[in-house]
Amino acid sequence: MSSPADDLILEVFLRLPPHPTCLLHVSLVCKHWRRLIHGHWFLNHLRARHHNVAPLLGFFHKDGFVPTGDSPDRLSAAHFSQLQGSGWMVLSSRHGRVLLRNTYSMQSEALLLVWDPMTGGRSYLPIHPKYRRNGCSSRPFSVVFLFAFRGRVFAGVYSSQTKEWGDLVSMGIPRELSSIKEANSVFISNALYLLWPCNYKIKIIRFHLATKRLQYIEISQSIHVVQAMTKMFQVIVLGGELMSTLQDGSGMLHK
Amino acid sequence: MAAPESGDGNNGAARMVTLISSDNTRFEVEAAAASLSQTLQLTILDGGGGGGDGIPLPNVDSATLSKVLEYCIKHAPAAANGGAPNATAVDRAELERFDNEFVNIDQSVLYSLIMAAHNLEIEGLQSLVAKKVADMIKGKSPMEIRRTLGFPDPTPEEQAEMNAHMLEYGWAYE
Repeated sequence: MSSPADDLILEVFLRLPPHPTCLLHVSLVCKHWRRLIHGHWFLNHLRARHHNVAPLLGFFHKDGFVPTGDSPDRLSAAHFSQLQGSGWMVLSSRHGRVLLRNTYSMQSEALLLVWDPMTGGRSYLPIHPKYRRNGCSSRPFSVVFLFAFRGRVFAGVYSSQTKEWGDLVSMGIPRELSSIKEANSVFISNALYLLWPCNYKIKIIRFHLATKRLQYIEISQSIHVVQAMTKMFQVIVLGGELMSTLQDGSGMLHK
Repeated sequence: MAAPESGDGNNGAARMVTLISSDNTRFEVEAAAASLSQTLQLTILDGGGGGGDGIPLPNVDSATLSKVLEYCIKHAPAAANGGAPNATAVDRAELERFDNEFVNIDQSVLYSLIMAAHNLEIEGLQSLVAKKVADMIKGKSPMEIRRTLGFPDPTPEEQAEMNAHMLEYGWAYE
C-alpha cells in the first residue's frame, strides 16, 4: 500500500465504529497508526463526529456483564464480570466506571468499590468514615450516597480527590417514601436523578452535585416507565426538559 | 429590454471546461460537474478552463481522473440543487446504488481516488472512499487488517510488540 498522507488515514479512522475494541485493533496494526489513534486530533474529532455521545458497550446484569456488538468488536464478558460473584455486587456504572458493593458475608464491614475495568484501577471507599482504605485511581470521581430516615432524605458526596465524605444535606419527603430500596438512578447534566417507585407512581429525587441541592419531583401520568425484567435498567420517556437527556444515563456502561 | 447575450456559451448549452491529466489526456466536462471540486470551482468561477486552455492537473493521472469525473457527473445534478432537498427517494436510492458500485474496485484505484479527492477537495468523494476503506478494516483483528491492506508480514519485533499490547488490553479479548 502506498502511504497516503496522515490526514487521509485519519479520515478513514473517523469513519470506523467508535467502539474501543475496533479502535484498539486498528491501533495495533502498526506504530504509525497507533500514534494517530492516540493523538488528540483524532480523539477530539471522533468525539465531535459522534456528538460526544459515548457508545453503549454493554450493561451489567446480576449474572454478569452483557457486551454489545459482534466479535471481535466486542468487550470481553469475562473481564467485565470478574468481580461479580466474588463477593461484589454491581450497583451502578457510568462514565466508564463501575460502582460495586461488597456482600456482607465476605467481610463484616461494608465497602464500596469504584472500578475502572479498562485500566484495572480500583478504589475502595468506606461507607463509614472511620474505615479508610484506598486503591489506585487516576481520574477523579464522586460517589453519591443517599438514604432516607425519619421523613427526610439525606445525601452525602464522597470525593476521590479529598478522600472524604462531604457534609450531609437533607430534605423533607412525603411519608410514603420511607426507604430507598435499590432505586435506579440516572446522571444528567451534573445532577443525579433517583427514581423512586411508590404506590404505582414514580417520584424523582434530584441531587445536584455542584450546588449540593436536593429536590423532589412529582411525576404526573405523562410518564411511561419501561422496567425491563428485573431491576436491570429503566428507560424513561417523558415530556419537557428531561426528555432529551434522560435517554443517556440508564445505568449502563459508557466509555 | 433583454440583456445582450454575452457570448460566453451560456445560451442553452451547458458551459464546458477542459481538464488535463498528468499524462496529458484532455477531458471535456460540464463546468457544473467539475465544480464539485472546491479547488477547480475557484478557477472555473474566474473563467478558467474554457476554450483551448484547459486546467492542468499534474497530480492526477488519466485513469484516476476519468473515475473522478464519473463521480462528479453523476453527483452534479444533486449538488446543483443545494444537496437536493427536493430529491425524490428514488433519486437518492439511485445515487446510493451508484456510490456502492462505484467504490467496488481495486484497492490501488481506491487509494488513487482518495488522494485525488483530497487534492481536488471533492468532499463527497473523499468521504465515500474513506468510508469504504473503514468498512474494509472494521471488525478485523490487527493481523487481518494488515493482510487486507497488503502490509508486509510483521517483523519478529513488531509481532512481539503487538502481542505485548494485546496482553495489556485484556478487556478487549474474549
